[in-house]
Amino acid sequence: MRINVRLRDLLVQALVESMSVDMMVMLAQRFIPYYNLQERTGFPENMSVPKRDAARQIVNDIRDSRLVLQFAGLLVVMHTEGLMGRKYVISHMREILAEIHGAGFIFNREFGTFVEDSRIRRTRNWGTLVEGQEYVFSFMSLDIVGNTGLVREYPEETIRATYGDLRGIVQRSIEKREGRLWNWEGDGGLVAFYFAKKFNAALLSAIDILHDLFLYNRLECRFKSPLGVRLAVHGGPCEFRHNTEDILSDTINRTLEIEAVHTGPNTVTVSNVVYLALDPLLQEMLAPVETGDRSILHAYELRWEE
Amino acid sequence: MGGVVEIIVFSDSKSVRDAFTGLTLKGKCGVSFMKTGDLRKGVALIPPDALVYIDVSQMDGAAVKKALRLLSGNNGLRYAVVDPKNSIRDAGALFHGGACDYVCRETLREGISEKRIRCAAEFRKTEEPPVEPESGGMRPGHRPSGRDWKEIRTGQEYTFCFMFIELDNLKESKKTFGDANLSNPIEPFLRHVERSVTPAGGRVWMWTEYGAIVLFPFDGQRCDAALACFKMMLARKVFSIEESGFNAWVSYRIALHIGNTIYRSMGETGTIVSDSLNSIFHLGQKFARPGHFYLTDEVFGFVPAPLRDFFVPAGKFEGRDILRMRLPL
Repeated sequence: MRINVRLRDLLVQALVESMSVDMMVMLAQRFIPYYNLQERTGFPENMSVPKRDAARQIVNDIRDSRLVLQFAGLLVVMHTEGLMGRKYVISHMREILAEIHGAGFIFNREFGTFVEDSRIRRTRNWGTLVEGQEYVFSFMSLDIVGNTGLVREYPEETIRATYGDLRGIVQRSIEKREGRLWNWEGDGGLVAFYFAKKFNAALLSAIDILHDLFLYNRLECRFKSPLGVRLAVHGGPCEFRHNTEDILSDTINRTLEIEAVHTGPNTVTVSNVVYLALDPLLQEMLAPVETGDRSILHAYELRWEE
Repeated sequence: MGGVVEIIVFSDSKSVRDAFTGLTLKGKCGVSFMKTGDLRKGVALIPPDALVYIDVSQMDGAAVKKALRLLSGNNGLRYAVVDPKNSIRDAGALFHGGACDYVCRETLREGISEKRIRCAAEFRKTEEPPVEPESGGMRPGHRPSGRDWKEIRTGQEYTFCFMFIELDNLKESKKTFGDANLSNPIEPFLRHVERSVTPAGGRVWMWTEYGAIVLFPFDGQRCDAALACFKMMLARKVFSIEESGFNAWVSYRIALHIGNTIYRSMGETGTIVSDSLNSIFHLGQKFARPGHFYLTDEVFGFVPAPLRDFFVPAGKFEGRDILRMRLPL
């Protein structure tokens, strides 16, 4: 997020009017380990830094570290819920919130930080994840069944239009649930979910995609036979990189493995990690999968009353 | 159709013209070209047995609609659509509206064959096709309300597609949530209904205690209500989990029927006397089983053909054949 002068001034003002210099430093150290105000401002150790100088220096350093949203999020938490058992009244909170909202971010209470308002902007890191940090994600992998055969059988334009329609179905389904498409390679892709009930959201998106694809195949598909997909949902830790195609992660690898090895056409397979975290109603929709190894998997496919 | 077919192509594009030029060389088709902008003038001069191809590549959505309305309103004129940019998403709807051919980008590249022209000409004869009740169409006594709400006036009688939808098992729900608390779970359901019917042109006309009567304008050509309800049944479990707030499976029943009523605005419907309105209430409240979607055979005629095998006969009610949608499990 690009921080404008008004927001910077509001943050400086809020720090000056709401807390001591020691408190400011303590907050800065939550984001920048071993933060040394004297060193940063050039004031000698035996001299106290004036409040306004301290606040300006900290806000500038936070801005340079691209941590303004997280820092402002902490101020909101201090203001609404308190910090370390004490409540703080942070000045200019309303103006700070309005300024950040104007830039396309809203405060997420569950995570205590600002995330992008998906009606205004959508980025792969939800506007808040930090390069190199590890987070727990839920991943959904999608692959088109028989892609090689389809590419040989149909003209390029038909393939492009049909796969484009599929991508549209995927986008609509995941964006409703705050998912982000991290990778799309023409015949499939990888979607990440981080906020809210991320495991539920990933599986609901996958089910939604299967339902939409069923109608698409019946009503619109250009192919002679229905377009089929395989979907898998798995979750776990993963180090975030802005260039999401370059992320190496066991969690992602396992998601891809579940999709490629254990998933049939037009089915979504769910790892046990995800299954255990799902709402009971969603668990009811899944059936156990015979894996042939020790892994425990569950799956959903659209079936109809006879 | 063994004679010469007279074709008139409205297009400003050289590639479109080239695709048709080959036909004249064989002598079985007479092809003449006109500019797209001359459509309105040109339509009046077209011989009744001619076949018109209109190129929509230079038109926006509204202009396409206008051109098709002009052609379809021209007393049995046979017309077809050339779509070099593949911009029309629902080609099937063109045929419902009366078109006899659709030429996409790929077909255009391959060139138009004489065989295709003959098939298109045979597809719709110059005389009005007989109305087949099994495949939709207007019935005696129907007063079409149009494709949307623009022409509908309060106090006038129109034909609509009526939708009944209501939550099931209310007694059990009342026990679970209590009377006072039941309004909270009902709110998301009512929003779900509105959100689902609006894209198909539906408007909630009456809120009942635990559901609604929805009206869809009906023009005798199509009835998108059936697909909207199909989607609602397909999504009912996702809705239960994600939006309902019930924390339990939400069950609702739906019924669809086509009939007439005097139209009055929502909230002013208390004095309306309508057989069709009674019928839809009876169908929904007396016949429909919890969790199911029913429609009359008349509505069934408008269900998209690829979805028809998802409906099974469910018996007769008040003299009408009723069909039931097979449920997704």
